[in-house]
Amino acid sequence: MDIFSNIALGLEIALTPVNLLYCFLGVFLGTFIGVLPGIGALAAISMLFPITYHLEPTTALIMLAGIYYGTAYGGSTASILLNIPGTSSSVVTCLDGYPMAQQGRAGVALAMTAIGSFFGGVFGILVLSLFSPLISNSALSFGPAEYFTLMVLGLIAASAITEGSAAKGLAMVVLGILLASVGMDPQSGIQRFTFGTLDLMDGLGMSALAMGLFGISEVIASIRTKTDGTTATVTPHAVSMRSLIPTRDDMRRSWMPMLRSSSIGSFFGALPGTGPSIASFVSYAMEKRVSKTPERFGKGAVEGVVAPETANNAADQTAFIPTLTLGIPGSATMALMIGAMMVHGIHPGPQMMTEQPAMFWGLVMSFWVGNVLLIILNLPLIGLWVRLLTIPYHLLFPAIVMFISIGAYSVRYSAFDVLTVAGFGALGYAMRIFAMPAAPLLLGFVLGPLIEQHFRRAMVLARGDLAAIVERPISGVFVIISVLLLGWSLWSTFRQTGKAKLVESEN
Amino acid sequence: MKIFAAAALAFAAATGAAVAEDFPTKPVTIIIPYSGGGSTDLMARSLAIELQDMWGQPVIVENRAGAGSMIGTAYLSQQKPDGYTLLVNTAAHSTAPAVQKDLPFDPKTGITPIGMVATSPYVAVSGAGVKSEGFDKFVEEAKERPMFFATAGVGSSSHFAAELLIQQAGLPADVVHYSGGGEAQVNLMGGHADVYISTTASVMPYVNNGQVKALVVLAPERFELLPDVQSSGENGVEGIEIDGWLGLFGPGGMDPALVERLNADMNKAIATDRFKKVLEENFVVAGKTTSAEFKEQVEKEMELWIGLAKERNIVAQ
Amino acid sequence: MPSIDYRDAVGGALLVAVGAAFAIYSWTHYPLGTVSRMGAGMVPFSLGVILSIFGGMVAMASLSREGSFTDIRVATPLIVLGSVVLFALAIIPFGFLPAAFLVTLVAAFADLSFRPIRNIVLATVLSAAAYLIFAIGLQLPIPLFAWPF
Repeated sequence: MDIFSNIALGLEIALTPVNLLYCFLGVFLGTFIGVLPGIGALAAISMLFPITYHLEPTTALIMLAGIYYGTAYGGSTASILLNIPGTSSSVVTCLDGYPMAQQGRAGVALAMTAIGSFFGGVFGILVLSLFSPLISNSALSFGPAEYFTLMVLGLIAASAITEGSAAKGLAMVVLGILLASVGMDPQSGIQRFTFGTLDLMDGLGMSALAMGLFGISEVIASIRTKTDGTTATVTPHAVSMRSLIPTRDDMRRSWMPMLRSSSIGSFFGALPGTGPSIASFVSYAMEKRVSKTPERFGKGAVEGVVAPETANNAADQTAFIPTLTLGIPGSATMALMIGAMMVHGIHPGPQMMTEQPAMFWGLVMSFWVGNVLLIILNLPLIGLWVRLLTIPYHLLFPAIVMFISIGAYSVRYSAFDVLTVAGFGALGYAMRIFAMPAAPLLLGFVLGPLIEQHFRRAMVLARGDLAAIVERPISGVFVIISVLLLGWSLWSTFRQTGKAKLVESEN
Repeated sequence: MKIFAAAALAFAAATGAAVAEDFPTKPVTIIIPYSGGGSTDLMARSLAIELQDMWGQPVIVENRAGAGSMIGTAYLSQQKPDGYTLLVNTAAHSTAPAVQKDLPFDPKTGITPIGMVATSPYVAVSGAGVKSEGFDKFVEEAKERPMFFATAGVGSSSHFAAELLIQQAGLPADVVHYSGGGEAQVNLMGGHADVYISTTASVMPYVNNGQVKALVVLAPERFELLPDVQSSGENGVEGIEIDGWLGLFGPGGMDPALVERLNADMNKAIATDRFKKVLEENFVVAGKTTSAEFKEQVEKEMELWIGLAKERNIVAQ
Repeated sequence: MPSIDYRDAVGGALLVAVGAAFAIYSWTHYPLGTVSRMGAGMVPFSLGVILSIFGGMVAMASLSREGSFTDIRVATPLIVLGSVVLFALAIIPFGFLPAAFLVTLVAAFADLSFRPIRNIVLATVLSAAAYLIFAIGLQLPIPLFAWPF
């Protein structure tokens, strides 16, 4: 029961040659898949699931888990270098990562995300190791009412993401929620906006939306054509070792965001049904709010890159808490992890830490090993990735389009899903024409359905009594924080417009 | 020319009859209409392994999730009925069509039921909010405090089973819909909803962990693998004769000889020691039916669910 | 003609239209219910209305300032989107490799520099890479080649 003997047991298992090998294989594959836009951890783990039959359960889990959190390291690479998210949780990294690359600071951005990812991962592992039972018991007390108020809070908090015109940003959030309502309404069974197609019954996929809206539209916008009069290649920035190393200023700006984002990431990761994407939005918005110079965000602020990447890595680690201690999958990928255990007759749950300490602690320790391997792997690769920028774009973009198409298809072998990506690509390009920001749309798409479904469910359980939602202790707290946050946002907006008016009148 | 044509026809007829014996000569695909990792997925994969060993041909598993298993089923209905594309599904096969009106295939003729892989009665489990042990006491408690039955979603088998129990037992209860059995059971554990009904494969892991309690099996008599759990029948609840089965299906229009062959092979596959272990772990028993019996049961249940959907106004279309 | 921000004027108008479409469709097709017993239509309806309001705000704001219209490309988006659609249409009848080849080949033309030889070579190389990564590395069970006839 002593934490040290558990750690020793875990290390013993994690450091066996076989487990080390598969850990390395997993994180390497995970990084690679994270870099490739279109393919995510879910697709890869689904495809590789059959190996669990041929390996020891712990070994199989170590490898699959390595793929899972490995993708959170690689996902930022394409976000920073190409403005195309490698994974859905790396969308937010594009906002400041790409501007940094355009300023010649790609290496720094990549280095900071690697460091932040490591920090977040380690933080998440610590939370997982020390607080699992406590957290999973607390998570149980989150019913629909709590989820509802929390998601509303998340929406208010993350609305700080919107750049420029508030009306446009909020309009995009609303549009995102509307798009997410396509499909069967879980509360009534009524098909919304599906026009009779079976394929739309489960709604529009988030991966398809992210890849189409951010990936395809970015490709369309970035292709330099002959008629533009600009060169056909992306000019390589000077790549020296010096430019890869973050400055002291960068580090100074980053360590508090890393702490805050790790906490936010760990929180959302441990809550089933929420995860790295929400964590990345909320942590970015949080940093923007608490920053003394929020206007730097969206233009290459290092905090804007560190925050989401730290958060999503922390979330990926704590996602194992409900998986291992409750046996409840918080996401489709975690369902596969549980499946991998069930294949060998192991049923995760509250007894797991006591009845299967070898597997539990072996796995947790392998997370340490994996994160260390990842930072060792990723830092030198930065030079390689930055050189990738020198590949002429006209050779690169067909590859991107191909990977996105294959990735979309591979989720459930559906050509319809590929068409969805094309549709979102068209929408994304149209939005660029009209200068409508895309990140808020994704935010609305992710949070909107959660808010609606949990609210309606909470209403059913409360038999229509709206007040009952607010009276519950945890939800009540979220409501209060939401109101305060909303108040603060409005006040600071007035203050800004007030200042601007003052400046105008002085001129 | 005529002789050639006649010979060709004779050859085709001969090979047609021989197909059932030669099968399979190339890889077979089994579709799982759910995403990976769930109990259905795992049992189907175990079946695939048995069949692969038996046939000496690769048996590939494809996950095609969506629309409550209907996307995978729709895909199946479009494949050639030559036995090389099959599908494993739960009783969702008979409940989903009761709520989805515009399926691109006919649920009766578009799919051929081949055989029942495994079965168990539906089990109702109760969560932290329910104090009673045993169904008789539960009914008492339900009268004092109307209960909430969680479902895995509208049109899922957990939904229909809940509606059936509520109706037949006359419980003053409501259903509340979640997105999946995992979310439903977590809410049970937290005391937000009270009861969840599903197959043993879905709930027993949590029962064994002590996270939820097995309240009652929805059957006329107790289930042999769960002797300590009351049955709805012994508590005077009538009209519940359904099973939470797992079945093997093929596209519509399959040759009857082929169906028989597949049914026989499937029954052999589920009788192996290795598969018996899988059955045990999931608290289910082997199917052991003929294809005709299975087809009859599937169709009977489809009628039942359609009737129940109307009576209980399950989906307001 | 007073100079206004055409981009936002049109953009705002589009948002109004989209919002109205959602709202009207929801009103006429789905039960709205009440706030405490929401029907399927309540959320899309109210959000459609809200979207129209925001769209109106954007359009209003555009009337009082000048702005330039972004260049709209036509050929490039059509080619890129077309290549993705082609992949969707080709993958089931023709298999994984032909579809991968087609999407890269067609997409490569989107930079409007007509270089067919270079594009064919690129498409071949990328399809080979896709084969190695997905069919060999990840064991993706997609038919590599198929023929529908």
